[in-house]
Amino acid sequence: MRKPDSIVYWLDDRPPAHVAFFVALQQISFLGVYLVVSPLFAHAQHLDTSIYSRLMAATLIVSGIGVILQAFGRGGIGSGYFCPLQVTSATFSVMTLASVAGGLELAFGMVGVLGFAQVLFGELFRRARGVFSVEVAGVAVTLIGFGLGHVGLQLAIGFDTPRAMAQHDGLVAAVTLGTMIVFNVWFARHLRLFSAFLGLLVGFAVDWWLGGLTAEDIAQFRQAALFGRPHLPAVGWRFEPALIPYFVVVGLALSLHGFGALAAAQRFNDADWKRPDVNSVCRGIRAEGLANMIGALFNALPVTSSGGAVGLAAATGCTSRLPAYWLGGMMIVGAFIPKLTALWLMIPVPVIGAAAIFLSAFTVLAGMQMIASRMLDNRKILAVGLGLICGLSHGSLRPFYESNLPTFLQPITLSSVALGVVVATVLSAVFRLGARTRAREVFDATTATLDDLCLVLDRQGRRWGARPEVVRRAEYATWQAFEILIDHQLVGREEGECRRIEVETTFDEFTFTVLAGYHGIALPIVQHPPTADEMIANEAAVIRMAGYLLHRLADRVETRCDGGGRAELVLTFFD
Amino acid sequence: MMNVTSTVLGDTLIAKLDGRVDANSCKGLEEQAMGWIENGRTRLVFDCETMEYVSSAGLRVFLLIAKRVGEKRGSVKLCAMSPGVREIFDISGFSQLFTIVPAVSDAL
Repeated sequence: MRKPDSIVYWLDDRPPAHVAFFVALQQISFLGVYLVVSPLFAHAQHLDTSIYSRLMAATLIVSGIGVILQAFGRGGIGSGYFCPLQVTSATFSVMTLASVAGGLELAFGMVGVLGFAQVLFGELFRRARGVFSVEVAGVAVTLIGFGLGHVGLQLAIGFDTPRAMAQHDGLVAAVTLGTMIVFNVWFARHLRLFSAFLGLLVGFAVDWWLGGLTAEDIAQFRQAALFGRPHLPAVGWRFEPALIPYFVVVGLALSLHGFGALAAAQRFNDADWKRPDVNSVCRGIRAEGLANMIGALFNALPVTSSGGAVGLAAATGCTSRLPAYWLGGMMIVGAFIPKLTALWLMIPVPVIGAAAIFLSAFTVLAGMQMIASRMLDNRKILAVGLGLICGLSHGSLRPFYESNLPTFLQPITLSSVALGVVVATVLSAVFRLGARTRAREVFDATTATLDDLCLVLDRQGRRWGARPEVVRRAEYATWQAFEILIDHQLVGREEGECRRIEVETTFDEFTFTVLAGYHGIALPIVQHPPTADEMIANEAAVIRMAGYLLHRLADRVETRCDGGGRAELVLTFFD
Repeated sequence: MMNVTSTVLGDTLIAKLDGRVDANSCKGLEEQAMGWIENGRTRLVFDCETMEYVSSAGLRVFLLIAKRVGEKRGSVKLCAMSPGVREIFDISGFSQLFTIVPAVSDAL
């Protein structure tokens, strides 16, 4: 791992307490937008104020526990990254289904099934790493970014929001977004670290000045109690086996969303990032699942890893784990201080919208960079392309899905990320049928060209999603080998046939191997190059230089002879 | 395959190498370069922007050219190398024997 240049405080760094505090405050301000999910659920379920307050408190506690578990990263639980959890409306329909069938107790009881399913899906991601590839992770992260931006724009202009649009909403959003951009682009260190928070403050102040804060908002704040012990569980539990499939599917949707957010966290924390660390993703999904199982006990709304919060950490330059403990502590303490929650809910909607737009830019590009980091053949292009298309068109086609898909598949269509990643994953798995990780090609040593070789290696690289740099090194080194074998007559004829070199390529995500088999003499591999004077004085030094170049270009070189006239050259390139 | 196009700017000959300098093409490059040197062109600039590939045989030709130019008290500069070609020069240790610059304008 290598620390990216844009990061000020990295994973294991310990920023000063005041920095960690304000970074956590900045995160909690952003996550405030997801707090409105709880009142939306309460409104849809016609809950009275006391039940709603218990729900909010329980959700805050579980969110706090979840972000701490996620950062902890020990004992097989938690990814080890700063990856806060957010409430998601993607679970509403299935919880409403359960609520109608057996009351809120059943809805919250079945959240335990959802959490357990997430723990199992985390294990699946680890074992099926060939299916949950870099490209699939890139689709997830890209769709998280687009979704965040879409929500942000809606909130910024007051379109389809819980409250009526005010005339000045667009101006407030523009000022907020502009402030964040100015501090992020033209300032360094602390001002950049808090660019999002400064934007939120400025936006809040402008909205207040323009009369955005209503008497009702202030009254709600005044009425909120200063201290209040959370009543846990809020309502109780029940369990219904017939509903298991619905909650398992929702668990899959949340796990895929979490996969994307965790892959983004890894990408933002490693300048040399090449592929998702599936072990870390597995532990991260496990932490989410555990948080949701605890949430079921406390009667909290389900949570999932927040791609937006991960993007906020990266954009502002602080991805240290330390603020996670501050954030978790603030959320848990906040559950005991209803007045803090009321203050949190006062953050103007267009201000949060601007923050979401700001963060979506970083997240979208991170996802696209993930996808572009690999060579793609038609199979991968189709899996990625169709996944993105289904995810991006999700909003406008949702009524169609609700009317036409079987009920147990509905949860997958509740979010663009889940739908897009499911499509990309299924296609990725289907396209692996018949695809071999080993390929063989025979070259006529007399007529073979570099273009012929590059065609074969490029094709295999695309088929296997290898990194372009690895394939380029393989092409270069293999052609060096071909040149020496051919020009120095190391390849012989086989019983009247032409001089042939059989090239076998294999790939297993971590290594790209080229095996050149031929009838002839083994290529000498040397560990020390000839000097310039030796090269000038003796043309035979060229073969020693070629052997040395192979030794340096490939990560591992082996030559062998079987004594029967057959020789092999094996070049291994680590990805 | 390699194509070489040359232009003269003052007392400097700029040779644009297009393609691969490998065992097949290096002899032709060697003959051409030796011809320039024998004709008094001892300040050589090789524009390597479109040079896709250099093999160990190609490295030897560049060394021969540099030695011959050195005997004539001239200079050889290599410009605009791709990262892959630069890597070959670096691995071989021969990048220290040449003046390597980012662009032709830097060599003039």
